[in-house]
Amino acid sequence: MHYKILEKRELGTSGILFEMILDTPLIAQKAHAGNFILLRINETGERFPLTIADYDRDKGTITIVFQVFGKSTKLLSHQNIGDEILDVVGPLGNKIHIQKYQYPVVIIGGGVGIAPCYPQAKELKEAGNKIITIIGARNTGLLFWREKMRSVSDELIICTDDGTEGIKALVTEPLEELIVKEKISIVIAIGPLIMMKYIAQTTDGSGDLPKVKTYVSLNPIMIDGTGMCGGCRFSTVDGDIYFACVDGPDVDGHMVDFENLLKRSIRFKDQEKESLDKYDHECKALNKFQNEVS
Amino acid sequence: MEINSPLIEILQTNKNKILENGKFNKIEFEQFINSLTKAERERYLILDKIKELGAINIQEIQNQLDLSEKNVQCNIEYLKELGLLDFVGERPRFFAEYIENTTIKGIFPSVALIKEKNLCCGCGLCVSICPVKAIDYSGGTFEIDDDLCINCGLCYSACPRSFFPKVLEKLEENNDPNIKFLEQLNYYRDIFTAQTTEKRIKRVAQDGGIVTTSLKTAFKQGLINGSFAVTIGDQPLKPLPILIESEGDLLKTAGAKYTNVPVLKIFHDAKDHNKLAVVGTPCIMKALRKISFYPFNKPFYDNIVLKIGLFCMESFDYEKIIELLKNEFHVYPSDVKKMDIDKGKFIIYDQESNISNIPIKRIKKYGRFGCFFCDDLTAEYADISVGSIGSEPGWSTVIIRTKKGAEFFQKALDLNLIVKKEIEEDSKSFKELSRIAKSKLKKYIKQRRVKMIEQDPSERIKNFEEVPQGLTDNMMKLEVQRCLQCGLPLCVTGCPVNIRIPEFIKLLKEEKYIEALYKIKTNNLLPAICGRVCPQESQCEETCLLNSLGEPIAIGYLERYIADWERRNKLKECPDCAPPKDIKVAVIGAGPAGLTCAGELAMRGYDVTIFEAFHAGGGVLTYGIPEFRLPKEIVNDEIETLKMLNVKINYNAIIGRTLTIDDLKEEGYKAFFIGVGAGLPIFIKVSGLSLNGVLTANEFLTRSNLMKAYRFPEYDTPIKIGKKVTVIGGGNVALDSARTALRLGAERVIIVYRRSEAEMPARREEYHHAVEEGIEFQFLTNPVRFIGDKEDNVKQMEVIKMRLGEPDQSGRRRPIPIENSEYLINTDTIIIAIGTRANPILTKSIPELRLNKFGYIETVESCQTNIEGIYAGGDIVTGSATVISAMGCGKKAAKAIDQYLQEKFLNKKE
Repeated sequence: MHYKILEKRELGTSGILFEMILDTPLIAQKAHAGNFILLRINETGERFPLTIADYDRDKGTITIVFQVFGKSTKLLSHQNIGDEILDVVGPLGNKIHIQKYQYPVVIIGGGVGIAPCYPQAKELKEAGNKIITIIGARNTGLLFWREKMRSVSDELIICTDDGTEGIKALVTEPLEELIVKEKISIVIAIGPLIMMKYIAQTTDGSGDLPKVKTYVSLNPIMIDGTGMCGGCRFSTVDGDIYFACVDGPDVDGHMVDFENLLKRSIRFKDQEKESLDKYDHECKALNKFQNEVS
Repeated sequence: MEINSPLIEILQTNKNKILENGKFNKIEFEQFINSLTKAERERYLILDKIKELGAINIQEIQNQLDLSEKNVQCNIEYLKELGLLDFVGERPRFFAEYIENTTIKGIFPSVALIKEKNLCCGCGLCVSICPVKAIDYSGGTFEIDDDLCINCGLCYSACPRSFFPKVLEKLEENNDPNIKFLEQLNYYRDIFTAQTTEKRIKRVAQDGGIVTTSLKTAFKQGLINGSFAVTIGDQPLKPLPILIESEGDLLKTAGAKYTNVPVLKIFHDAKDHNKLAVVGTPCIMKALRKISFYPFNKPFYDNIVLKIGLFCMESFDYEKIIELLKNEFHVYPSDVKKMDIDKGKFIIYDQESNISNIPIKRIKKYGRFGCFFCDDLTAEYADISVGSIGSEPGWSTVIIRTKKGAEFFQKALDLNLIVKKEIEEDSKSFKELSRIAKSKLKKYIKQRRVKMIEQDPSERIKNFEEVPQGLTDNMMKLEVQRCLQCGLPLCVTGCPVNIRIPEFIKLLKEEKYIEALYKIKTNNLLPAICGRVCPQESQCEETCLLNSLGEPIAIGYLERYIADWERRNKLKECPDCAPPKDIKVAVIGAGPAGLTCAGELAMRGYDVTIFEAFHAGGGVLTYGIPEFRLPKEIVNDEIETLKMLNVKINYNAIIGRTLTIDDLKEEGYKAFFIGVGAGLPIFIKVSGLSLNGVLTANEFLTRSNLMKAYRFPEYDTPIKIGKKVTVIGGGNVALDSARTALRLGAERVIIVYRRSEAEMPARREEYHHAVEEGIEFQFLTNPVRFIGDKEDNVKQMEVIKMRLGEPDQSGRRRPIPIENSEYLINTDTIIIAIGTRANPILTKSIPELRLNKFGYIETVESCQTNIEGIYAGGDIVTGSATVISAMGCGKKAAKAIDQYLQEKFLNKKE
């Protein structure tokens, strides 16, 4: 199997967001909104999950969008068109439940989490739903796919933390307004854990606002992605254990114990830093060598 | 002096029962008790002396108690086997686990144990030893009537196969200058070839007629007034022991060679004859030798005046002789006049004296198991030994051993009833006798099982290299000598894939390595793996007959040796495949079951593709078993062998996700084997499971093994363990996790297991390795909760002590918490290794597939599921089991798939 990179482009102007189209005919045939893949770039690489951001069954391709966080994503960003990724496995996880809802569906994408919102919005839109999309990021440079999202939404709200684009607000603010204004069937939120935590708090009915069913998409540390290792497990507020890989990745946001999940997500912080520093150091050495040669 | 002897106590308690059954009258009973009391008193004096001295000092005991060296040594052996010398570190050599668990200390178990261990030599002594007639001997073995048995253990202590003091191997007269010694013949005085001069005897005799003539002489001279011998009963060739009371009766005796006769079963019946001769095989002589020191049947034992031993290679149960004649010669016993063994052939003469023969090796499988444990050809404990080996037809070889034997024989010579010729030590005859006797010397009887070289524990905990380093050539050569090459190899039946073990060991012995390798690979394509991770001790080695003597042959070591030899010589041998059949078969999962099934099908000519979810093959061999137990290079090599058989492997292919069974059907696959394993971790039900530092063994081992986190940061996958690691569980996975943690730098690794050491399902060898490496075990301990700090990092584990209650469904005693026994263990990492269950990813994608309530696939004996063309095996059917049992399923399924495809697509019925 060869998993060739067919297209690669930078998203936004931050320099840390990338989109790639991969040649994965088998995965493309089975992919649905909500599914993810696991990648291992090379022999010494780790397995890490990325949500499928789009797929084309005819061409046999899937689209992935990623932000450079640590070594593996940085290494991926250094791959170019024509390069091959050693292992790509999927589609994993449950596809989202598609139905026609009575009231509008609100889909919220934060930062790199905007990408996986696309297939969800698209499939729900195709099912006849009214889609209200909120996309947000710290600043305009981290935003992308505005037109693509608009094409699958009835309404698109853009917001940034610093007001460099759209309204200057956190994504929870327009969400609150929407809930106050009209009845909402479901909320789907994909983005940083902290964002999903606040969205879940907004919609859990504990405040002044009515409760709205909310799905969040979890993307924890994983190895096999098939329920075997249990590394991706998360605890519910009631103390039950679920696996993000096979029970998710889209789960009821109101049952997730975000405090614990936030702590779990940084459990390899030191090693991740060590790995990234080592890689940066190697890259620098390589650059220096190449400069000297040329 | 009063002694406290449980044996005497039992006999006294049962005095009425003993007298009632009539074996002893009152006077005889008193004699019997007196002689035993005397013997017991001596024994307990010796025991007390050892206690006093705090050690076994034979010289000192001899001097202080004024006993002979032989007496002291025999009694020490006896006490040791009773398990009474534990306090000086002497454990019973035989069946320690039984002896040590007996309820009354100082009493042996019954000979039922000897029978269970296939050790019975068939002498029949136990029948006459038993004071209550509870033992009967017929049909090749004995039966014990439990209702009659008084559990005195006399039968066991008399049995020549229970224990046999070394000091009894020596001849009493061995200081006599006329005595010679040769290992294979033991002590002897002279060796002759001899012939009777009596025409009548000569006519009917098998060989030189020496036994009959000697007995006749002895009767005539009044030297004996009775003799045990063998006669033919109602059925042809079926021998029975009889007591001959006069010269005239000698005609009743008849040679019935090769059939086991429990001569000593009638020993007690001869109590009225005070001058007895016994004629019998080496085992009978050995039995008499043993009770010469332990005279349980005094006064009758003293009546024996002459022991004539018969050479014996091995004997057969009567039923087996019938079977042999029927299967190999297609004749009935009534057709046969005489049987003989000569020059490597087993020969039969029919009533018209026509001769047919077969090679000796073909009769081996009919032999008595008990005979495999005998290394005595020439009846070493007789006064005179007689046999045909070393003599011309019509003559017998006679070995004179004791002074008494010499005198008897001399009488017959003096009377000109026998003529003799000297057999010189450099003669052809002597060499032949010596060679054949030597061939019966069993190395395994005295030689211990080899021990594999292992990395030193203090060194190995710092690396991931293999712990056992394999056998050297010399070790292999020593070990193969121990194999019995028994006719009915139980090891093969103990092996889930039925490797022809004795055959490959024989080839190793002949240094035919390639042939040995082929022999294994015909049944098992993955010997390098199985030689390392199979639990041989509960499979092939468990059924090995050598267990009866203590230690089985090291089958696993030898399998590994030959596989390592292949690798060392850069060979990749694989058996020939059948011509391509152009039928596609899909194997799902590249673990032990899948790899085996794929290999088997490829050999049968099918076009096999394996679909594997991970990026590497091997399944649990790769993600579960650590490098130090199974180097991944070996797994890869074995997978390469499969590729040589044209097996294709698609990695990153999750059936049920990436592809479905229907997709594969569309692609033309005609049959499917599901071997996806049981890859879902089971969590213990306690609070704190989602704390950082709590992980499943699956995650921990997958990180370290598959993802090579032990080489972080060279490999990107991280692993974090801290200083103190606690592992929960008692299986191999728990041990693997604990030992991996140690190698990753943990300072203290504790295994908590809720049952006790005895219930641990882990392999013993691995357990010992773990102990050696300093893993701490806290048995009968169960977690209650995991406690973390404010960052949700685990810091402590609260545990509770357990005790064992009644046995549960698994047959192991159920652990029960002991109230208020909770305590805390400080820990940085907790690894949960309490088992796995079925992963539903594949099974959910085939809704019509029938599963049991635990989610495992239901199959029939042939491994077929409820869907035509779909087969399953390994852990996804059985739940967590062993590598080799999964391989066994893979093999069985391949056979069934082959049959199915033959019938369906090739219109052939097998």
